Amino acid sequence: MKSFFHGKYILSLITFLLFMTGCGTLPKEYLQGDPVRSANAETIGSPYTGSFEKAMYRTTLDIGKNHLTGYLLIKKTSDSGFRLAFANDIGMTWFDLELVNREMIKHAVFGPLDKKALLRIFATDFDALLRSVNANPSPKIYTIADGQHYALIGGTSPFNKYRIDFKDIKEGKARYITVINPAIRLTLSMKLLGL
Amino acid sequence: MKRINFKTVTLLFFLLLLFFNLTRWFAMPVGLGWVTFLYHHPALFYAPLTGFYLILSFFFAFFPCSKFHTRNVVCKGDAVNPCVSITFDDGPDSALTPVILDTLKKHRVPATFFLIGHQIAGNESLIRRIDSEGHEMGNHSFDHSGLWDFRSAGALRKDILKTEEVIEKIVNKRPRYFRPPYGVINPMVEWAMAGTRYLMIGWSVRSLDTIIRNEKKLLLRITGNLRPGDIILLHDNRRITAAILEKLILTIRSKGFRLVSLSELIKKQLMYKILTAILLSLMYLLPYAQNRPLTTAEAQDFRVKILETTRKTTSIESNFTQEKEMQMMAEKIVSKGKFYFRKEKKLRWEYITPSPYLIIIDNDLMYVIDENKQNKINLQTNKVFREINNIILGAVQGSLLNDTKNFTTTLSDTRSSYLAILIPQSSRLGESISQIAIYFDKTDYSVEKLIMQEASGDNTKIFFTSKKMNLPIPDEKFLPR
Repeated sequence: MKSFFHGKYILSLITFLLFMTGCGTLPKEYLQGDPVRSANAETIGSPYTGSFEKAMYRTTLDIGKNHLTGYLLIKKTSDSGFRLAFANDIGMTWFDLELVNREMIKHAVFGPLDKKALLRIFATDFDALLRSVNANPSPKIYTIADGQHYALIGGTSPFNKYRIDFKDIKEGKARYITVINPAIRLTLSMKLLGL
Repeated sequence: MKRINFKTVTLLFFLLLLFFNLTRWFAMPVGLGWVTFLYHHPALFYAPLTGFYLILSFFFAFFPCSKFHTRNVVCKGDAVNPCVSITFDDGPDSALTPVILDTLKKHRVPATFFLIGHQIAGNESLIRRIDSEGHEMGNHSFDHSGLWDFRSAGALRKDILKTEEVIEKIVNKRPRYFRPPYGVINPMVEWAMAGTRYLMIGWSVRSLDTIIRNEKKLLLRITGNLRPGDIILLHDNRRITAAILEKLILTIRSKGFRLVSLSELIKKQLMYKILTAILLSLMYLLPYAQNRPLTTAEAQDFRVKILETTRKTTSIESNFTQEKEMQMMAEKIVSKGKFYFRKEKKLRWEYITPSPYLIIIDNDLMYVIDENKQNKINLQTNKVFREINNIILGAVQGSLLNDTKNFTTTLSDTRSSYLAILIPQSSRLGESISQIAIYFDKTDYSVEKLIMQEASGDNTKIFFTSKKMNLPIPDEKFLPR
């Protein structure tokens, strides 16, 4: 967290990570974590379609060495729009973004995070999460064991490869969601607090 | 920006010319290199100065809301309520205006049509329909030619009055609003408007529906960054506008905005101003009902008492409730926890619900501990965290209001407590926090409430309860575990 406040550092970090991973393959641990589709697997729909209105998650966001914690609020603003705000524990807003038809609108971003490259990555990964099953190009969907966990792997280029895990599913709502983007070593862990 | 207008720029231009010529005639400088050269070749001074003046005037003519050429232009309505207004230029259009009117009628949306006078002939029934369906009409010149604003002020006034006459003949009403063709306002337009009863209307959301061909892009451009009070500029002679209008209305409403007429949007703004003026007057009439600024002597006395309290306080133990309010959510994020402070620089800020989170400051070390990770930060080497540390310690002790280097402070009496409003001076801090309000208990001068206002409009309130002062707090409280 400390180093996150250095704007120059974060840009170099992102550039370095993108450069290092741009031509490479996915990390081993990411592939090892691939779930196996069970024989009678049924997939559930995206939690953010239909009657979804808003939700609050206890969230940790790890990018490289940086570790951010706080509360992530997701609100549906229109049929194709979502607003996402991430505030830290002491109350400061890390970012407040809106995604409409894959386009991102910036409402507020904490100074050191306000980097074009980083926001583009956020947009891609949140877009993958929010649209998950419905709109992503042919994601592989796996349902694990008793239907309490399913994972979704998608993305067409090394930059937007992602894996989303939904765990502890009750009435079509996942209590735990993890988004992993190995290309930039991003892990977003969300625990549902309320709807 | 308000002071940079056509009048001040013109004055400055002539003053510079005068200064140059006077010094050239009476006190020609010698032996100063390029300055002397300039004085011997005055064209090198006149040309760039005149060029700059003309370019500036020309440039701002295309931005009516810069208010460079006139202040008599409204570009945004009341921002207090979530209302916006739709306006259409360049009509009436015999093919598309009826389609647009159908959509507006279906969704009961009032709009404003800025009409071009020469297009009205043959479309009189459309004008009657616009009026009878409750929409407003504005004047958008008679011929709307490309060189419209290059005419004299008299010719422009004639052109405007011609459209007014045509509209009045049909609906027996004279339009109140005028929008110049292409939104261009230059000194001629300003002079033409002088003496008329028109209010010039600009916009705050330019749709670019005359250029954009992609419906999704157009929709996103209009609604992407919509703000309360926005005036949206559309054109009722564009197919794409008629095609997206229904979606546009639904999207705007889904974002929580109400679509109102231009008059209502502006009236609200005027009403709000009047209301503010009344409230301000009441503030002076009823000094105890509102915050009363402290006099210089009272402020000085207050600062001394805070310093005394800070000096005497060896420890603070308190519960706290934190409420984070975000513009996007009606609900607040409420956290609760315990707070410990011990002199000189030991602090434990512990969140218990809804999730555990702990900040410990032990002199020059800061620990941030959450469910998964522990971070250790050296405040000697990290300037930003040092600033945050100083704010936290200064805020809970109240000593922050004596930090005149980093904050400007205003002090007032709210009747139940003393209030200090601190505005950050550092641009880095100011980018995130626009102000910190600290409420002090009137009996013991301890901090009872803190409001941190962010530049984005979000805010965080922290309430301190069950305060215990100067009791021993064991060392373990300041250990990271």
